[in-house]
Amino acid sequence: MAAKTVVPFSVPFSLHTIENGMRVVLSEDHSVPVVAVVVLYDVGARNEPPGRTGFAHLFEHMMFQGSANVKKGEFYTYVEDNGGVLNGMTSNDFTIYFEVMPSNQLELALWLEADRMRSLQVNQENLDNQREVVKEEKRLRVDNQPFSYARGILLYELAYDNFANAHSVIGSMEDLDAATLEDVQRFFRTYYAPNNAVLAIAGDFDSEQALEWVRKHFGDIPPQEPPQPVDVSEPERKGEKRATYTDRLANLPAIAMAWKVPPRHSPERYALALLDRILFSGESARLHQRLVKREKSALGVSGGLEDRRGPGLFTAFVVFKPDSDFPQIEQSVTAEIEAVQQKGVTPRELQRAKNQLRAERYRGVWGGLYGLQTPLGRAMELAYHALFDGDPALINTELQRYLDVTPEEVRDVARRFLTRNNRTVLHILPGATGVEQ
Amino acid sequence: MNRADVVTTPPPPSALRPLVLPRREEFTAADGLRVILVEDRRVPFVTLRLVVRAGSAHDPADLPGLAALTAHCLTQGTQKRKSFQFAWAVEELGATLEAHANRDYSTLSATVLAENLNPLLKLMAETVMQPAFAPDEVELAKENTIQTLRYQRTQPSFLARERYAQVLFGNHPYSRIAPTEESVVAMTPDTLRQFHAGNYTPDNSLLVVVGAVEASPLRKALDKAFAGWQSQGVTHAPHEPPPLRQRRTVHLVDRPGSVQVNLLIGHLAPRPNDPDFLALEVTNTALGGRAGSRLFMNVREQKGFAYDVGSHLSEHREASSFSMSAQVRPEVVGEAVEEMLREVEVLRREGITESELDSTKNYLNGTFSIRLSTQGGIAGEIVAIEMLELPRDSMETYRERVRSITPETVRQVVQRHLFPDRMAIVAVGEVERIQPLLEPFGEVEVRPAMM
Repeated sequence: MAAKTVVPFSVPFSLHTIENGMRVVLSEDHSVPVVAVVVLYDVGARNEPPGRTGFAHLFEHMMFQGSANVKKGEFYTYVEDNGGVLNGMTSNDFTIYFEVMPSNQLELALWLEADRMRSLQVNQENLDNQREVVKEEKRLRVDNQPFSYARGILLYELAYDNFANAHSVIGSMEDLDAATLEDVQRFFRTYYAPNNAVLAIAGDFDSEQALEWVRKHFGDIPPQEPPQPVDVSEPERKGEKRATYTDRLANLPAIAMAWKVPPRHSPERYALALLDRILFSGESARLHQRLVKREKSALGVSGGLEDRRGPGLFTAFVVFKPDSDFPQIEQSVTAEIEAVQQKGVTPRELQRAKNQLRAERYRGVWGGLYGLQTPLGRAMELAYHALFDGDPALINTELQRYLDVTPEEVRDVARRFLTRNNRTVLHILPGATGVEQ
Repeated sequence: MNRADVVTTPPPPSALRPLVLPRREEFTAADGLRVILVEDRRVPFVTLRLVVRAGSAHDPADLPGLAALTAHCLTQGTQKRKSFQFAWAVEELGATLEAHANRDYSTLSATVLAENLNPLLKLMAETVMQPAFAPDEVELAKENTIQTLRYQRTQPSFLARERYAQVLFGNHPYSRIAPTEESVVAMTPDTLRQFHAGNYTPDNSLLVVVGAVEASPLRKALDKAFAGWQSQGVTHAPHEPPPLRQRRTVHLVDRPGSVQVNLLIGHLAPRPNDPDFLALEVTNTALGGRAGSRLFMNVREQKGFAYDVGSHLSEHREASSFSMSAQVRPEVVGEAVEEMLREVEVLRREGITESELDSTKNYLNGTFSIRLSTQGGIAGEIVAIEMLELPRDSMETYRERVRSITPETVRQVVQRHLFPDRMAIVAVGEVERIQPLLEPFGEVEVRPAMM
């Protein structure tokens, strides 16, 4: 191949903290008259006590139910009637809200976010209504889909030992039923404070003007006592954990595995991210080649590094054909991991993984919505780095950490973390009725 | 600042900044491959779509799934490289390359770091010009397609879409959304080769490139990579149009153990190049195409029947469909269907107000610029214009055409195209629980989930 010029790419940004402690990250780009506003709150399922699982996510729904100057339903219409889109997402680690607007409507988006941060107003009727909506969301995403519960909830409950990490974001129907209006009010006071949030704006706007609007709309929202930090520490796994689950909606068997790994800002995560690409990313990846192509036993292989602010997981999920069996699939996955532990990875293979990772920055890993091409992708990335790592500059500098990883480091993280003693293995048996097996 | 300074009304917009529409350059490369390029240097990255005018609608009647399996096997090795070597060569460039077929056309989609564009173009050319369709790869793909089909039959959304297409499109090939096990068994490397040879030609294709590359080096690289790819004068005659519906009917698919009912409700709609299509799209958006829509506000926000509820206007060359969808708990399925049909009735009776129409138009024009903020979004717009035979200047005129729609236009298209009493109602769930609740809506037909 001829020598190539790699065009450098970086995202400009500035970081500010306003009077009440809210952090603000700004990133201008005038190529398209679009602006993305992201508000990232430092609260997620990890903050839920036992008996209130699913509450952080139910609360996310309440944030669209009205505030002092925005009536129920109006949040949607103010944004959409002015040409924008919006949504909210809750994870174990955080809750995030966003609007993407034509750039001349930036102040509207800021006003909407400020109004609900200052003065959320909920009543029993709205709480009951959204409780039903969330139950339908759970039925849709979890209870009515093959593999969804086993892979998306049970695996985590088994793999983590600390309740804060182990329980699901969607929660249980019983806990959702138990949530009261007082819970909503207390949660709002504790976590939805300006000093517990990061605001990020990316796209076509003027930073000075934006900061003025931010101060005007958010500046007088009083800060709160910082919430108690959550203990997310995980005891070391001292032996393999195994379980079997019968999935009444599935007609194929599957195996799910998980290994505990360090948090997102630990030095090992870079090598783990590259090991993820080597094992899972694309059709030339090791596990796809072995299980789908050579042994022809699996329909699909997925998984990889799921890093969190606290301890993360490295997972593998294999749906396989009825003429194969659990011991064979487990043996094949284990053998590929042992090959990395014993023989390491080749420099060329590692370079391939690094190129994939560089391309993912632009493409975005979830269907392109969040790549650095888009204002929303840039705003989210900046907000995550500001809140989780305390340093938005990582949006530009962190790439080098990945590019510096050596084959030995990849081998070493496989040796340290992907061990039998550190793993959870879940066998998922097909239990669908009326299906020929 | 003190409380008195809290702003209680929405701030007005600032001056609208102009949207610079992507500038298209068009040329013919190699031996007749039409290329549309949008140079986009915001990121050092390139997004490509090679589209071939042959989709599942062009499957032979006894071989549904042939276009899809051909597309899948296209990237599973070439005459020069086995599948592993091929995948490796692509992924080493930081690229993705995958092919799939929809109803009207097949697409080879690629993304790549800008510095690796030329080697990726060589690999794209290799797949479309010299695919191997090696017997062992085809055999594996067939086996996995059959297993995947069995797996899809456990998913309620698949069962709903499958039955809905059958009911709406009758004998038209759009009625099939998946192969059958028999058709997959009958496919051979030769069937795939024939489909490929008869359809994957430059005169039946179009390459859309959006990214950090200039026309002249791109053209040079394409001339070289695609040299020798020959046109054959491929044409596909359109099919007999699907039948129009005369009355409302209910189609249940039994899925024991379902904790929800998957609903699809609708009928045929005009094609995307029909003069009424855009006004119908505006109407659909107000009815169920956004979070502030009538269906969302009623069925989700007021009634709490569903998490996901909305409506959709599909875009296909030969026939489109208008569909409302929701997933609801079984005990409220009757009420939910009633509310959804009622919203269409209200639209027919009362039309849409000036202010609701204005806000809907704002939404469509605003999200249009958001779509154009990614390379994939720009490529998608261009592919749609070309494949659906829309006017070439559709992107340039879009916002003005949206703005020109009036409540009267909406009233007319609603009267012409939306008929709640002729809709098909497809419901997937536990039949014994939901059948009594759906009988009031029309004649009921029941199918088991596994066929």
